[in-house]
Amino acid sequence: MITLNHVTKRFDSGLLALGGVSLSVAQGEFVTILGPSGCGKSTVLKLVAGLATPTEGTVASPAQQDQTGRSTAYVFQEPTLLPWATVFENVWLPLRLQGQPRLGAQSVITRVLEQVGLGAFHQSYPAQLSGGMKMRVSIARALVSQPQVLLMDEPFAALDDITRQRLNVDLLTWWHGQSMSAMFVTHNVAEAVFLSQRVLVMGARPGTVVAEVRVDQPYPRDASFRQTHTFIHHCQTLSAALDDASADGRTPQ
Amino acid sequence: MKLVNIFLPTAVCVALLLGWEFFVWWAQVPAYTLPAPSAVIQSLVANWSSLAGSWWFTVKITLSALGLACFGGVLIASVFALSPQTERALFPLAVVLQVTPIVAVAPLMLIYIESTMAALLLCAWIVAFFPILSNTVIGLRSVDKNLLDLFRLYRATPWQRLTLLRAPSALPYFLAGVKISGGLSLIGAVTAEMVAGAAGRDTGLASRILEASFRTETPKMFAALLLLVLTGVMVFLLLNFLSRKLLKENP
Repeated sequence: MITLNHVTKRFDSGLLALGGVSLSVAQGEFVTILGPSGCGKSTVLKLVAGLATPTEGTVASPAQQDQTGRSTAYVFQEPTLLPWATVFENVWLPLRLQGQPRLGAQSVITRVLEQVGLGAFHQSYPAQLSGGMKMRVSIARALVSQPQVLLMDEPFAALDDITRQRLNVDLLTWWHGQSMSAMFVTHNVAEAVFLSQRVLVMGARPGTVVAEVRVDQPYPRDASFRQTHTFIHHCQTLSAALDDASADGRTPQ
Repeated sequence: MKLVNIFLPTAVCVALLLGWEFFVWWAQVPAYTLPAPSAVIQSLVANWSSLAGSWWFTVKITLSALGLACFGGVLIASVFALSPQTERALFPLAVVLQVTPIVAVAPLMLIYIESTMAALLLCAWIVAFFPILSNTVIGLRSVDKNLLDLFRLYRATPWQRLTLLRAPSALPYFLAGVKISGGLSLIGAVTAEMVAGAAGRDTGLASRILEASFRTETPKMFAALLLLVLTGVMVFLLLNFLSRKLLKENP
């Protein structure tokens, strides 16, 4: 469904952000990109979303043929909500931009807000919500257009650990059962193992995929997964791979 | 708490006025040097017909200049936001207009523009439009980059991007600019008229002050000044009210 073929990306500043990245994501797959800061993880998501173009190589993703803007949703590290709009209006936004009136969209929005546990907050403003709740609104906005691809760029990095773990569990239940491909970017090893079927480890400068780990644990997964031997084993493997990747980045040329 | 907030400033005001009144009575200051507040009120009532007309003229100039400053400021800011080249080309000009003291430019305006009213309006506009322009430019620029990406991702039209994203992002900045410009347009209107020094029926409060000063009618000067102060306060309150109304849904 999503394929990157020997993709490089050089910014206008001359910095080589990606140095030949090849990866693919199947329909309905949950793939996490794990890597140190500045390794080009976010750039990969931008390319998949069609918000950036590769310098070399090819990118194939649903966003490219999409005229309506329904195929892909993006969750940023910040909640990125419209501060002057209510929770309801924020979740309405993707549908509104596609020309759906408020009343027509109401039932879908209500359902999604119930789903993320914000059924009672339709008329609240972002400033009145906690960080975790704002992120729930942001995810509700991503889910409301029923995208084929859900891209998430360190969405829980700014949240405390308890909120993050709870949102990880919830995210899997929201994603599971929809035939939606998910790409999740993080630098948190435990989060990567808990969420994904496949973890791609990226090294820095220029960013490349240096390792791939498959997490063979069927969904649904709940919090007890974190106590299993499999989980801990995968975390150790990935931590080692991440260490190598970061060390490579520090090696003087 | 609320009562104290109203009571304290009122009490200070009343105390000052009483002190002033008492001082004038006690020191036997002649009215042409310093009129007592009561004499100012008397003069205001006595000269009401001429003062009211002039007051209305000044209000008209002030509000028109402010309205045109809003319109022009937003228009130019939008052009600047759409085309950085245009901004680079024209912004220095806007700065030149802003930094040149209006008192110095006003006599020229009066030479080149036949209608005094139009010249006054232009002077007031020059002073008033800059804060709106520069604030709105900053506001239009302040849009969250990620939100812009999101609008691109969802294939928003340029019109949707303007109405649903750029305009609401810029609104608080614009309103802050309007609040500054409100006071400035009154200052511009009065300053320009001081320079014009026009006589006759169709003139504002500045002309009344000049006129009264030539005749040493100090109480009338104070009365006109009082009207100017009240006008300024009213413009301030009006803009505060509007800005609070418009930003109500943005707690």
